[in-house]
Amino acid sequence: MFYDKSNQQGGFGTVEIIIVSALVITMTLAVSAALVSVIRLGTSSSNQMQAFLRIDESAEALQIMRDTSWSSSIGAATIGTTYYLERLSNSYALSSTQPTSEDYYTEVVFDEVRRDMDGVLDDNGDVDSDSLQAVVSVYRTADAKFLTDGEFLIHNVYEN
Amino acid sequence: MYMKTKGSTGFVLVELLVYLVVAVLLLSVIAYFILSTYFLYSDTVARSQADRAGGAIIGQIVRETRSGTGIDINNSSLESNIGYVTIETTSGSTVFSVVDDIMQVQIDDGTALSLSPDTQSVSRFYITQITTPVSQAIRYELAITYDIRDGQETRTYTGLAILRESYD
Repeated sequence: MFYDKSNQQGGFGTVEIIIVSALVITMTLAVSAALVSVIRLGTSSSNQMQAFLRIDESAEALQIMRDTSWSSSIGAATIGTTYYLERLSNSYALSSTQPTSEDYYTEVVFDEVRRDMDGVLDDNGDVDSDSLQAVVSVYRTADAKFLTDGEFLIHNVYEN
Repeated sequence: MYMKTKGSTGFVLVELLVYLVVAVLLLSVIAYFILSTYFLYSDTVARSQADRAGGAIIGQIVRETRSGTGIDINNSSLESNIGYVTIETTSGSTVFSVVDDIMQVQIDDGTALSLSPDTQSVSRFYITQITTPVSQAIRYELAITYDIRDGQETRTYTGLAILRESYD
């Protein structure tokens, strides 16, 4: 079979233009999708960075509350109750009200600590009334999205 | 009247105009789509750069404070919008200050080094001293302002450090 090229019209046909347009649109969508992924990754990374800073701050804040007065801060907390870490002008406090003024908030839940006769941590041991385990979680305020958490043991070292 | 003959090639003028209009419209939509995404991407990159700088600065200040022997209050400016702090160390002192909107560190009276890029400005460096009966701590609030497509944006980074040497 031979194809008579001389009867062909030159230039583009509608089908060719539709195909090229489809290719261009597909490539554009692919590039945009990649950029959107980068944007989402950047936002997620930013949230995680802020969350890690807050976890670090929480660990120090719990020690500051311990150093200030165990009995009126950490020691007065109810096991299993959710508290919110509150920044005050020159100190920190545990609040039962969720703060909404910042982009992120930090939850603190205390659990009891048990030790064996030698003072070693043991789930079947006796409750150590001078120690608590704090589970700290950071959330984004806008949508209450959980970002990260950490666990700390805190002791009433100064018996205050 | 116009008559299309057998063997004529390419477009007639009307077809060409229609194709051109469609092509321009299509390219405009694509260009708008790409540019919008690109601007979003640029803003994200600017935020990421601010996060990297903010996180690194706070991390360094907190580490220096924790390992410091004390705070030289006379050579620090606490509770002011653009403060500075002098941390006493075993080898001398480390000073964190903001000069021309750039965070700088000066170790043992050496040359001041920039910690933040000149494309971003440190718009707040608020230092609070926290005193307990048995320890001293410093809280740092660092705000970095940077340009985005629709103006400027500011992000805040907070660090808290107890001076380990302050415990008896």
